[in-house]
Amino acid sequence: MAGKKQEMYDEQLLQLQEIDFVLLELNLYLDTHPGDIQAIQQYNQLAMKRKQMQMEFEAAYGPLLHYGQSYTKYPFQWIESPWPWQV
Amino acid sequence: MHKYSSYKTYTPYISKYDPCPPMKVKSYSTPINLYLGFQPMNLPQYQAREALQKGTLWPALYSPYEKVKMRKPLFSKPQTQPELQPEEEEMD
Repeated sequence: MAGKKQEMYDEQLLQLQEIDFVLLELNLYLDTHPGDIQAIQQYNQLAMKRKQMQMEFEAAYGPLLHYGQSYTKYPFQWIESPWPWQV
Repeated sequence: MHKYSSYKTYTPYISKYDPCPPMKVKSYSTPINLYLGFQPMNLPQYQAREALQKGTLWPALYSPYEKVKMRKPLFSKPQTQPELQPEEEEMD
């Protein structure tokens, strides 16, 4: 991958990781605090934002998930490198 | 009221017959969840990037496991063996 594209790729992937971690923490928190309305609002906002970030990422770099959880262009992009563990 | 510390130290009894060089000060880890109990609502939060690096979303729950070598002795209670004050910092 070209240098500039690689940087963009890493940055967007890192942002996805960050928002996933915050969502994970909020989810675990909400398991024990189901009544916390502010946490629920934050959770929903971040979930919407995460979906949007995923669509942007996949439009640029290909599917993140398979088995129908992500779209793909022609030809089938799932088999293209880099694979997640190569990044 | 004692200030929270993420580890505690104590001075084990040192006998004349100890075969090895004595460990004057020993320490054990006391993470925050021992004291916190049920997490209160609306605690302040880290930004996303910092939360990922620190491993928790809430600064109140951040509990790094300091290297044992880096732990300075903290004596909240009065010493039972005053004459055995640790001269140098060596610990296990």
